[in-house]
Amino acid sequence: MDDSSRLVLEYPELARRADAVVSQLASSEDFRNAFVADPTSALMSTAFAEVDIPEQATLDRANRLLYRLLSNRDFMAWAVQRQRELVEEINAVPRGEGEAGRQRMLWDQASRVELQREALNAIARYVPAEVIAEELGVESVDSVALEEQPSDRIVLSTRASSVNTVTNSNFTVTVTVVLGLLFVVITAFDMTPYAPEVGISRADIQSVARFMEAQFVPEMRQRGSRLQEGE
Amino acid sequence: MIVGQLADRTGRTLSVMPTWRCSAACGNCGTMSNPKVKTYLDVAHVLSAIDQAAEAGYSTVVFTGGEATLAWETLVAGIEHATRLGLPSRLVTNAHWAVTPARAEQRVQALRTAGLTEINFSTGDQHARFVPVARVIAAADAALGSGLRVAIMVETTKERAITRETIETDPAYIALAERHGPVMINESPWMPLSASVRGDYEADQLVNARTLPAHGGCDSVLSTTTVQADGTIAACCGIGMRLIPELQIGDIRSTPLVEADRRAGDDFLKRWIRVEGPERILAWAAVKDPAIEWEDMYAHRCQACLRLYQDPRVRQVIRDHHAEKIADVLYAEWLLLDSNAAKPGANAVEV
Repeated sequence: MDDSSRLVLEYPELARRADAVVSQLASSEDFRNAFVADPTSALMSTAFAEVDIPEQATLDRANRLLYRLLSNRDFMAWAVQRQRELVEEINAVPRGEGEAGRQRMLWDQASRVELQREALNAIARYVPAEVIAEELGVESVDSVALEEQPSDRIVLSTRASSVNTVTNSNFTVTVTVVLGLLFVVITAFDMTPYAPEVGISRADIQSVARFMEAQFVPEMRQRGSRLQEGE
Repeated sequence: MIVGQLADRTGRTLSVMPTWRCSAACGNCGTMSNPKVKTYLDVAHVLSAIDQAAEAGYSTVVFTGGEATLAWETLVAGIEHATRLGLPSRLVTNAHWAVTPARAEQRVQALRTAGLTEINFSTGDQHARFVPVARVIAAADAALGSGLRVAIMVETTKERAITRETIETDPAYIALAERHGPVMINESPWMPLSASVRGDYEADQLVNARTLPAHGGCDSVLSTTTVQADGTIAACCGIGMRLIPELQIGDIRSTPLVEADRRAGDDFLKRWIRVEGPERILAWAAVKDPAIEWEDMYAHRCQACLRLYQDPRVRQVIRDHHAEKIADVLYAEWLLLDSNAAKPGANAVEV
């Protein structure tokens, strides 16, 4: 395979330029807002002036929601507190003979799924419905509530008074967010490529946001279309 | 262990393959290793890679292969060198050497003395054709007794004789667990080394639109740099990476590790795979080109990655449309990899 046929999307000094963008995202609220509103212009105005970025480039809705979750004081207070409890729980296992048990707890995928379920509940408890609606692109949501089911699933209910152009049509959308899907895939010959972590990671929260996006948004839109058709 | 922040991963891993030779000849081996292979990495290059990794701030060194213990002197020298430089080390092995409990103890003690901190054992139906599970349990027993952290990986397919449960109900394992506590046993799909071959998996293991949200970014690419037995440097430690030329980023005999890492970091696709994973990229490509089928085909993400790199249609979509993802990938990098990203004001929730 010659170099030109290799699927390498090499941009000169991409790593350095990416760092520059990330630094601006971290340090400037104005840049963050501009970036979310119009990613193409924001990128081209900074380190990617010569790159032909399509005008329709947008940010993934789950990532937008992730940002709102990570910057929500109450949600993050819950997440950090929950993590502190988990660390204490792990540390309470005696060292020495209990080391294997400690390690097993670190890798327990069932616990990780349960943590994601807890995170979903915390989102419903602490994050305003209009924030979720705005970031997922669903208009005029009045409330978001979670209801645990006896099965390994959580039902997310939304009561909307209007969807898109439909107004005064109260209804409840029930979406099942299935979190019990995680299973271990060893991606490498090295089966523990990074130290197992305790608690909820950003990737976990992103996964919850993706479940909400993947299942909640299409259902809401489908309901809206049916209402428009006079169902 | 982080307290007061979310539990986000940190640190880079150097993976070293002292040899591609293996005592087993598993079907679909991820490195195409078997007893006939005679490729070994010179000890000087192993030590040089570890020196460079320490200098670059890597956090862990892993020895894998092939069967790394077949290059015993190089392996021990590498572990000792990593230890001297303050880097914890991990060995991935099939435990072929644990012929008797005494032999297992002797080998583990030598590894422990060299400074090894963790050991992973690979087993399952394929491995057990060549290495009995009893050796894995004996080796795990010796390792736990010496204070090493231990994990066992069991390869899975739909029909199989060896499972986590069969190990956990093995009398030798029960005795081990009574002495040391239960061992962490993970099950992971065993993947075909071809993107077009469908593996024999349970339905709930397969990636599709319903399960896609559970699939996040790849934790190997740009996090683990691998020095392979022939000296080639790779940008991940993924199964089947030898079949993907784009993942080869240099040669330890001529390319400084930091230069190889820089080269990998300048490839937008690798950054994209890091934050979204190959499954989501395949799904994205299928929206652009509906002829691309991806649902219910893959259980192992490395096989999805193989597809991404080898399917001409997927490659074309990526080439033509990737620029629209640049902003989103950078945004995700900030949110997922910067531990201070979007943190609520004034660290009010620090504990």
